[in-house]
Amino acid sequence: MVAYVASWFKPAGGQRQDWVAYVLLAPVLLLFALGVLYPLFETVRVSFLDWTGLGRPKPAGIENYTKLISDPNFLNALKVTLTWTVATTFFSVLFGWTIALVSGLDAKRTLVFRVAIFAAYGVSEVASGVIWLGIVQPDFGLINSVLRAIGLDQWAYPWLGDANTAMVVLVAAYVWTQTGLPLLTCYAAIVAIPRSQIEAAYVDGASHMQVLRHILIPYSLPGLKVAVFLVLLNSLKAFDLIHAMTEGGPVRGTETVGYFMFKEAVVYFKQGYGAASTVVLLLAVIVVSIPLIRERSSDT
Amino acid sequence: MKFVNSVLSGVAVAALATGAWAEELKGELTILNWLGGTEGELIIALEEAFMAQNPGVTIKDINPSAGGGDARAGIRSALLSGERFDLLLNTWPSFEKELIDAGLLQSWDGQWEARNWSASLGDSWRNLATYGDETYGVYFLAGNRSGLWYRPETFAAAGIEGEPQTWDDYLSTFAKLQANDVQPVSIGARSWATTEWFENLILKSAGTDYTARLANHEAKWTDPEVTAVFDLMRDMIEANCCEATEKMLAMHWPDTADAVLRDGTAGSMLIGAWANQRAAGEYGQKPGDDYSFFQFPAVNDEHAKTMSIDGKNWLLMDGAQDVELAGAFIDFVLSEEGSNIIANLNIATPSANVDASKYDPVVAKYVSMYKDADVFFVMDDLLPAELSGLFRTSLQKFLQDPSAENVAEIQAALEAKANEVY
Repeated sequence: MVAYVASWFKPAGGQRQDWVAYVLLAPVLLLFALGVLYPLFETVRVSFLDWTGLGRPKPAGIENYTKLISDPNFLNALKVTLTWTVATTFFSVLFGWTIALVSGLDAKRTLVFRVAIFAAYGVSEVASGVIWLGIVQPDFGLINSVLRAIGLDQWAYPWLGDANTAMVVLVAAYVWTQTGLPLLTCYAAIVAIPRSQIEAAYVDGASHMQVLRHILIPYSLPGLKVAVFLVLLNSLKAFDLIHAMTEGGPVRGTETVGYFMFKEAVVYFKQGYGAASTVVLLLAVIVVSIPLIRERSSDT
Repeated sequence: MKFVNSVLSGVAVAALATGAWAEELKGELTILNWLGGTEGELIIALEEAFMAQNPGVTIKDINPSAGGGDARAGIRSALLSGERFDLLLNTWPSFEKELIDAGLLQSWDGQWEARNWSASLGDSWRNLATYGDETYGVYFLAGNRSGLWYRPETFAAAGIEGEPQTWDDYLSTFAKLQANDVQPVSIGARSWATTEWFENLILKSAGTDYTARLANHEAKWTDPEVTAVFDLMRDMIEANCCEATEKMLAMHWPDTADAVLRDGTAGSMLIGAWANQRAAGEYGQKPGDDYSFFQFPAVNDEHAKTMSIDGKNWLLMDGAQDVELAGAFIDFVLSEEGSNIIANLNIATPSANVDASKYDPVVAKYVSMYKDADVFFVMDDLLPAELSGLFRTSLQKFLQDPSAENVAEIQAALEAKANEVY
């Protein structure tokens, strides 16, 4: 069947029939246009409007963008996003990579551990948020209950009522859900290393540390790069967990650009303003994506 | 023949009198219903009872997406996506005005007069939903937002006799409760609950007229009346009323209900009539005995009878398929049967047709206050959404730093935002 379809593109001894390729691609292109290009175009268009979502929109020119760059709440959201993205990406990738490297030394005995870590990646962010709310609840939460049980009452704290500790809790909860992704990509790179190479190193008297340093780490780097890229993008877009746990508070202390966008467009009904911040977020995602896409393109 | 004619005439008159000649109701009514919990159950109960009474009628509910905690977002999405419905449940006057301005609603005036709804609803309820000369909403639920909920047992154990009538009385309960190891007040400041304190204090200190002017931005957020409210709130904080600021900011209103009504670790709270459903439904407590409420204490005697209320009303969409059918449904909701369905679920209705004996003692207590009270709709729901958002975070900022300097900054920021959005 595959050979038959392939023959349409390049019949033996004949000319390429590109139109067939376009016909076959058409459904995908149509879906892409409807699902990606049209919403993108609409978002950009709405970002130049003053519109509550009801009634007639008014043209706003670039006013939404000029207001955005002088809006202290947006600037705060940018700052929060930077902290959030760097922290979640760093810790998720660090933990995922470390676990992948350790697992690379002994795949069998770390299987259950890997599965447990990866399972958290399958938990939805909202569910994760609810679980973590139970952990940090001020009166009956797990953390404060344990602290009180071991006599550290003075350490018990309303973790989500302070912007600094709320950010730490959010990062911890997000890292818990995201660690599985770098674990997967790094471990996939590690298992691709020929076993004979590792065994040869051990036969030559290499220690675990030497195997780690000279074989596992260098070979896991491609997986690491992919992990950084994917976790970074996920972090930039993060919304559900923040919504479930802090709603961007207290006093906008955990409000990322993604959450700012939601508040402006959905809560305050400023569709144009929210769309403008979406465009800014989109540009940030594109800027982050370009280096990796270019690198992947040059690899192929 | 004469006899037959007489009999037929008699039957015809009797049939007309009983309404048997009225055209049997038929058709489909579509309602955008975003309510959940007990109120969600109530809407279903009303719909089922109406359909049982009118077998030719079917009612279809559209449940909008959650909208991230604000049902208005779900309603907007439904409207934007072209959902067609006849009736919309609403609780935000500011949103109602926006829908009217967008030409999405039609007036109830024709149905109101034809069905004589004024016999069921007082003018004040009609006025709440009247814009210009036309009425766009029919209120059917009403809640008391000025009730401070407490456990009589907790107050009695602290030696507090009777319910505090004045602000000073109220503040004087703090020391007694603290002496009994009970935190005087619980405030869940994570979202909206702090606004209840501000709104009741401004009503009780400056009155409904001033509050209306503030809500319409005819008065300024930098006015001394507003500063005075922050001063009163500061008095509470300085009297160690509440949890630590961080804890307040981490708490939602159900947490405060847990502390006051379930656990008895805090003295009182201000979260609206939801407390009643939570105490009776979730904690299995007996209204009036296990828990009760007292009206927000008087600050200025002149405005002692002010009362913050909320309500839910029915809006008629401009594209409603069958206005008569929609009117008949509202007629049923306001009728004795409909009102009693509401009362049986312990939810207050402003309809005069309700049998008040069906209410539990707590609901009966606040319903009895409506007639003498100087009522004002909950102010946060009157503000444009963006200002409401800033209002909420400003009160959080105040809790973090209640100093006069910070209050001045907060007032200036609110005034600047009000200038921008009105």
